[in-house]
Amino acid sequence: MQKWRDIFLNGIVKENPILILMIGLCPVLACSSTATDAFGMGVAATFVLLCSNILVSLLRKLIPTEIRIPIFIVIIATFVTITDYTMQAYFPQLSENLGVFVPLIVVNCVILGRAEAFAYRNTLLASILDGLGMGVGFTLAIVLLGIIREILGAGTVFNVKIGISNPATLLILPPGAFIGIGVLIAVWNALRKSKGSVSSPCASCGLRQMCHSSKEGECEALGQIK
Amino acid sequence: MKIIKLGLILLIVTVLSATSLSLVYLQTADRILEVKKEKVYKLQKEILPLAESFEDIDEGTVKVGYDGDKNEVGRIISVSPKGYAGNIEMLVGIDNEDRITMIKIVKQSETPGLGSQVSKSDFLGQFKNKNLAGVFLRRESTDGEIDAITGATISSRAVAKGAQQAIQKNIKAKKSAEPDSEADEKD
Repeated sequence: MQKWRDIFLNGIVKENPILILMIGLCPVLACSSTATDAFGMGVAATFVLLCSNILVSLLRKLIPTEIRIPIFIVIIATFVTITDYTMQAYFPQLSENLGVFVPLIVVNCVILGRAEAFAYRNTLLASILDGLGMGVGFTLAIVLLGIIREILGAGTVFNVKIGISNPATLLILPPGAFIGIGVLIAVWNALRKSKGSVSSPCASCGLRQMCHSSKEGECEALGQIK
Repeated sequence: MKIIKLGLILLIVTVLSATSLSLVYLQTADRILEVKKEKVYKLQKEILPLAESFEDIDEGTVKVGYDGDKNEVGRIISVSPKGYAGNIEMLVGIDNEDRITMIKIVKQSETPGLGSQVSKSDFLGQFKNKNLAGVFLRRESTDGEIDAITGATISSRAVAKGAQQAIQKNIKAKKSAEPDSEADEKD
């Protein structure tokens, strides 16, 4: 039980894709100008991530190593297109707001990263939990940023007006995304540090599961740099 | 041999993916089209509230609005004057007396916070019921009745210009469509 819980929580806290691994930042910066858009993007990415993790994990014995990446991309692209069509048909307003960033989920490195680093090497149940955890972690980070930007930049939250008379428009513009994500990452890491949960640099390494090095902090990538 | 095997596996994966996608497409295509049509209709209805149905003429750049009894109540002209940053795509509703009913900005890339305010109803509302002489900036024409947005003169001027273009285009189109209309007016 403990093991399953750890896999799920891993994506939310210890290896949060946005705040710790810092992968898949592009949609987070682009789609977080309002909390509603951010939530829509988070749910869409989570759906694709979960589906691709499930399929990759089920087919992992059948997918030859040499062509795994193109196969992952085909699988991901299929689910992204399904999401895109469904969104256009049933949530036209959301689809319009997210615009080109829905098709661009294909190249969201969180999804390809999890397919490669986790689902291709783990059982179905573990992959489902990983997909959910990472998806929730992604959604949490993007919605948090969306709420901050919307409150300070537009004086609303989830389109509901709150009493801010003169919002700073800068925050809903692109620079606001960079400032917001920077502050968010800093606060998140400060919180983690104060709880003493940061250990070696390997703890947050996206390649950890593929790493053949036995000693902490002495991975192949670091060795090559030296 | 291996490369053929790998190619075949990839082929199978892509064929399966294409099949499932076509199924999803068949399920959603009608609905997507419907949503798009509804959106366009809603926008047109907002611009020409009296109209019930619309007909495209002039390759879709002009839409003629008809009321329930098939009488023409006005036209929607699409124009794209040059703004401060790129063209401003706008739809201009014009009634039978060549007055503006409403303007909608479809697409603009003006400076956010300054020029982008041209798509707000505070600014666009000024155009309502104005004729050709009225849709100039106040500072640029004695008959002009449009106040420019502070700090965004170029964008404001562009929208006014679009309105002028639309009215002129409409008058011209009407004239060429009915060559003997002047004779009718005389009696």
